Amino acid sequence: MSRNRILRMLGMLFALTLFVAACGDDDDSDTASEDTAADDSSDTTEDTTDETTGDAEAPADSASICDTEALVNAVESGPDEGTLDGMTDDPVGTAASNNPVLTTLVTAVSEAGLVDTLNDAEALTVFAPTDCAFSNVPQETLDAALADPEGLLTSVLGFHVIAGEQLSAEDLAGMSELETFTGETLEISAEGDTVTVGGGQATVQVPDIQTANATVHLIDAVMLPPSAQ
Amino acid sequence: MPTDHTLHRGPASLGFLAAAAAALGVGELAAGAVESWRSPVQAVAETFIDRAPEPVTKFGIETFGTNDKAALVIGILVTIALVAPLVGRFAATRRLIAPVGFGVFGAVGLFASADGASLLHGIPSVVAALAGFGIWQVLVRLSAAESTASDASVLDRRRFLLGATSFVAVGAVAASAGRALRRRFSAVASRAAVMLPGAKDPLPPAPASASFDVDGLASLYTPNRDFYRIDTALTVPQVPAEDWTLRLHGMVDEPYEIDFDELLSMGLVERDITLTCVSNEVGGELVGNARWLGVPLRDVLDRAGVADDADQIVGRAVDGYTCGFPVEAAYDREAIVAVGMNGEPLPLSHGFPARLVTPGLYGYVSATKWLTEIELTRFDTFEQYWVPRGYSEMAPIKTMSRIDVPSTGETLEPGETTLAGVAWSQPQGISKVEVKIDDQAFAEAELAEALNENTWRQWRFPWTATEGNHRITVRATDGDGNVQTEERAPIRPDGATGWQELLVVVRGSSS
Repeated sequence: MSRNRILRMLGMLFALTLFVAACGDDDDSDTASEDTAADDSSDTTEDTTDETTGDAEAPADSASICDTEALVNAVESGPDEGTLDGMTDDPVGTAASNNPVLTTLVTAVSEAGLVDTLNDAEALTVFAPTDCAFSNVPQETLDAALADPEGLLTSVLGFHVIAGEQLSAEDLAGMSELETFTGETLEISAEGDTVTVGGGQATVQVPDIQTANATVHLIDAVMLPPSAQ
Repeated sequence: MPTDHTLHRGPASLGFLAAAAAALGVGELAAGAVESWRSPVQAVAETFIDRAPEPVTKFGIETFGTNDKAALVIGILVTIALVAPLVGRFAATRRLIAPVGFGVFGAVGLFASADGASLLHGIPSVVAALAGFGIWQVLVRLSAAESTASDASVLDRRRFLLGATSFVAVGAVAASAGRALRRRFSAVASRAAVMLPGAKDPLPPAPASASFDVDGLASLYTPNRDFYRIDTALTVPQVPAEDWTLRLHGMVDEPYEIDFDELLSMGLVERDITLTCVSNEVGGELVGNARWLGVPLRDVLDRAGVADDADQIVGRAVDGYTCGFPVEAAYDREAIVAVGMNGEPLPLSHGFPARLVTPGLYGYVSATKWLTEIELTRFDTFEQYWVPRGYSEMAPIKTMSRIDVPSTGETLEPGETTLAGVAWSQPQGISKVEVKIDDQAFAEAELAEALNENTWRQWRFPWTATEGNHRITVRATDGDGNVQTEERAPIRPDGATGWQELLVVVRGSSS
């Protein structure tokens, strides 16, 4: 009993330390970190808007981050919302815009006018193709999709989103298919720790990234829905 | 025959009862020391409720209604009152009975308090048991003279009785002190006991025309339990109304401090105000409407007299959080120090016993919960909580419209349907809401009657849904004729903007 208590207290102490550390960051470098924070977020938005008018190619460096370890490192060292003094956790649309390896996806989502749909949903599971994944899409396919934001682009992106529940990789491993946001069928298979989606089109590389309203799995390829194949 | 250090059965029963009663009092007092420590009686009662077979608890609820817990506590006390004298009778002749009796008492309390968590929660039970045994020993000694005296002296008996009753009295004082101490851990009892007077000039009930009956549409008044909660408090501050004060100070002619009753006596008004969080995403849920009861902020300020050069009102919470907004906002709109929300005292998580509510300004600059100080100051000398954290000093609410129906991710059947939502632009009000389907032109939606300019307004729009993916866009126009901006802005530093766009999938059930 008392050992439990000690463990609990240690746990609380640990949590408290984390909390203090997180807050301490901001207090120490008040103006400096705030400025960066503000700049970061506005930059991201501006970049996004700029890119939507130009072509949607991701910066070369993030497209070259392809293997799992590099992805994890990039995500962890990227502009971390946790270091900002947020009042709330970001929903997935906003959170993705802070993710350094999802710049093309964010552009595409904004181009398709899906930011609110992603942000306002109560619960979602999102398969997020990385910039590396997008770099493997033939340029003409990407252009064709971007030229038809409400048609092809929406059905491609909608095929990457499951509405209504936040499914972890573990949940997914026990499933064989899911209905996507746009009503198509997404096949799922699992072998060991590896989850494959879209009938073998993509593999989950970094699972279980939590945002306020969605669980995000980074995948290594952009999937085409049956309707677009 | 009683030997040395034992009692006659009669006094023994009485003495044991007194020791047990005093022990319970000590237990209550100890429970007042640390929040996680539990009162033995309360712990046993709660464990009983948790563990008792369902028919028993059902009987309790059916018989005693909402007083079932009080009835259970009384039941436990009565049980102790019946058992203690009995134990005392045997303790009079057998030395082991008293320690065993208090041991059992302590152990029951200890395990009920721990209840699978930590034994430390049961410290008050152990302290109570030790105290009870100690008191019993003292009483035994007190009576030693009585039993050894050849002729049972009335004086000694009196001394014993006096001792026993004093311990009971000390126990009672300890118990009430313990209960008082525990109040600092919870304001639940205080909130339950608060009786708010009505408003001088109550608002009429909202007209039926202010609401549309559409499934999934945000209700005109947001129920308290569904009302959004964004604050910096890790745990909800517990502020009993009876311990609460409001201090007016800073750049004022006459600083003052009043308690809760004095605040209420300043005269209450009712106001319908939609509260909005700066962190609300386009289409988000961090907005809610309530009927607030409170004292006009301008009355609270005028009582102190605001200095001419003060330009910022700072509302400080018991935990040190501060909001800050222009002094004019107290005079050009219906800002209040609120004590009631939708017909009840403020819920603890919404700032009991008092908070600020200011129409037209985002909550982070204008709506301090658990309010305890209002300081008049200047923007150039004081920065409120969120300002050094990247948010703007000035935060007027931006015009916004939201689609509630259909909900995001909901698939519609083709055919006639109703789109619906809410729009807000405090304090200008909403004059128009328009809806755009795909690439068609914006068309005007029907608006429900406005309660006032400080609340949101419901809208609805009939739509014949056709199979496929559709994009629905909504925008509002405020009371001054300004159309909601289409330009996207992030939440930081002063609130998101943009027209909400929703992807709606329409699919026949056959496909």
